[in-house]
Amino acid sequence: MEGVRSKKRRSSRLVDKKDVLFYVALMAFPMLQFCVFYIGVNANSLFLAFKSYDIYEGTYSWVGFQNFAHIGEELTQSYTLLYALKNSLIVWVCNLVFGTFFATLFSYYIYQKRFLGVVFKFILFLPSILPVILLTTMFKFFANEAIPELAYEWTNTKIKGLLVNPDIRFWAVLFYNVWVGFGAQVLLYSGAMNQISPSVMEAADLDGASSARKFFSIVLPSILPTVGTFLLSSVAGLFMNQANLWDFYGNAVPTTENYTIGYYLYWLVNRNPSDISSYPYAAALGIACTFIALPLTYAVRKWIERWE
Amino acid sequence: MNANSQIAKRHTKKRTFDWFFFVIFVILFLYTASLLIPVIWTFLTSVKDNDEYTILDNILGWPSSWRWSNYATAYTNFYVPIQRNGQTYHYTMPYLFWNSILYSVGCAVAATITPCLVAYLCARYPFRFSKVVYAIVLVAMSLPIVGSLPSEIQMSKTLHFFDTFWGIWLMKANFLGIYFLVFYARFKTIPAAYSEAAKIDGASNTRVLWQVILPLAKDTLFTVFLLNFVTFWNDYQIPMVYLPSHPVAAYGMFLFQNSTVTEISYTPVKLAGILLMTLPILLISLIFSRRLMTNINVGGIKE
Repeated sequence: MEGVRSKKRRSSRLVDKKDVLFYVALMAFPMLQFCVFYIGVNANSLFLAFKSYDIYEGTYSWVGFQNFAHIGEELTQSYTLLYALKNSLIVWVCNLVFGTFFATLFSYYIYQKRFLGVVFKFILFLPSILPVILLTTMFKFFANEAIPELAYEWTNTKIKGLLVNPDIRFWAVLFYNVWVGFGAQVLLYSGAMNQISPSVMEAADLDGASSARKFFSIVLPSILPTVGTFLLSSVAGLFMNQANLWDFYGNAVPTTENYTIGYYLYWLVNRNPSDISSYPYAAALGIACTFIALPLTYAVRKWIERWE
Repeated sequence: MNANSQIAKRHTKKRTFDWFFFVIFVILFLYTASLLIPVIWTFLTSVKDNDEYTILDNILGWPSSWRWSNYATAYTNFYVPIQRNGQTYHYTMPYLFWNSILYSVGCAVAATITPCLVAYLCARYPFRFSKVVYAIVLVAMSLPIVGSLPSEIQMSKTLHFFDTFWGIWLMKANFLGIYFLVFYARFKTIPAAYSEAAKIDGASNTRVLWQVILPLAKDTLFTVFLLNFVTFWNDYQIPMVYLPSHPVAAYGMFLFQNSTVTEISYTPVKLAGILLMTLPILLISLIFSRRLMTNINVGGIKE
C-alpha cells in the first residue's frame, strides 16, 4: 500500500514538474516583453523626465525638476497647457454625457430587436471599422465645402467652412468626436443588455410597464457595471485623447487654443521626427498628467463601486 | 373573425406601437442619415470633373458626367516619398498595401496569441504566479499612464527594434488589456474534464493546448484576431513613428489627403484616392461583419 502511495506521489510530482516546465516555457516571453516594454519603458520615462537633451553634444544630462518647472511656466505664461487641459476635459465630458446617453438608448432599441435594429447596429458600428483617415477626410471636405454651399443655397448667406472658421473650429472637431464615437459603446451596452434575464423583462411586461419605464427602471440599472467600466476606461484615457486633431490638421493645428493634452504630447514628439530634444519635457508632462489622472481614476472607481 | 381574436389583434397593435421606441427610431434614423449622407456625397464628388466641381461650383449636385478616371489619377499619384541614403524613393499603392499586410497581420497575430496563451496559463494552471499576472492586468488597465511615447521610442532604438517589422511585432506582443480578460473568461468556461481526459490518455501539455483547448476557443481567437487586424490596418500613427522607412496604406492616406501635388490637389481626386484605399478593409469588414459585431461583455450586469 505504502509502495503504491509513494509511486503515486512520485508520478504526481513528475506531472507537476512537467506542468511547471510548460508553464515557465510559455510564460517566459510575455513576462520578458512586459518587463521591457511596460516596466522598462515607464521607468525610463521617469528618468527621462529629470533629464535634458543637448542638441549640439547629442547627450542627455540630469537637470532635476527643471522640466516640471517648465510645465509650471507654461501653465502661467503661454496658457497652451491651460487651453489643452480645458479642451481635454470638454472632449471627455461631451463624449461621456452625449455618447453614453445616446449609446444606451440606441442599444436598448437594438436589444429589443425593433424595426431595422440590425441595420442600425451595422451602420452604428461602421465608424469603428473604417479607417479614421477616411472618416476625417470625408468630414473635413463635407464640413468645409458642402455645408457652406448648403447654407448658401438654403439661407443665401455665405459662411466659412466649419473646420477653418476659428470661432467654431474646435466645436466642429468636438461634434465629430461625439458623432463617430457611438459604435463601440453600442456593442458594449447591447452585449450587457443581452445578459439581463428574460424573465425580469417578461415580469415587467405582465405588470404593464411601458418601454420607457423598463429602460429607466430595469435596463439602465442592470447595465450600470458596464457603464462604470466604460467610465473608468474613459477617465484613464482622459489625457491621451487627441480628439482627432492630428487626423484633421497634422502637426499644424492653427492655434494652440485648440490643443488637447493628448494632441500636445503627440505633437511634442512627432512635430519633427529627427528632433528628440523635446522628449524629456514630454516625459515630464506625461508624468504630471499621470499624477492628476491617478487620483481621479481611483475616485471614479470608488464611486462606481458604490453603484455595484 | 370572432370577438376574442379581434380583441387580441387590437391588443397586439397597441403593444407594437410605442412612442418611446418611435422617438428612438427617429433619432436613430436621423443619426444614420447624418452618417450616410457624407458617404454618398463623398462618392458622388469622387466621380465629378475637377472643373465642374471647382469652377462651375457643382458641389452638391449630381455629376454631369461620371469621371471614373479620377480613380486612375489617384492610383497613379498615390505614393509616399521616403528619403533614404540621400535619395527619395516613391512607395506606390501595391507596396503600401504589402506593408500594411505585413504590419497588421504580424501585429494582430502577436497581439492575439500573447494574451491568449497567458490567459490560458492563468485560467488553467492554479499557481500563485497566475494570480499575480491576473492582478497585474487589472492594475495596468486602470493605471492612466500618459506620455510614455518618447521613452518607448528610445527603448525601441536601443534594442534595434526601430524601423523593423519584427521589432514592431515584438513590441505589440503584450498580454495587457481587455483581450486577456476575454480569453480568460473563455478558458474558464471550458470544462476541466476535457483536458484531464486527454492527459489520462497520455497527451502532453502542448498537445492538450493545441488539440483540445485551442479548437474549442477558436471562435474567440478568430474574433479577437479580426478586431486587432482591423485596428492595426486602420492605424497610421504607430507606423508613422516606428516604421518611418516602411510606410503603410493608412499613412499613405494621411499624406495623400494633405498633399499639394497639382494632379491630386482637387477635392474629387483626393476623395477618389481615399475611397480606393478603403476598399480592401471595407470588403473584409463586410465579409466578417457578423463576427466583428460580436457582443463583447465587459463589466457584467447588476443582478
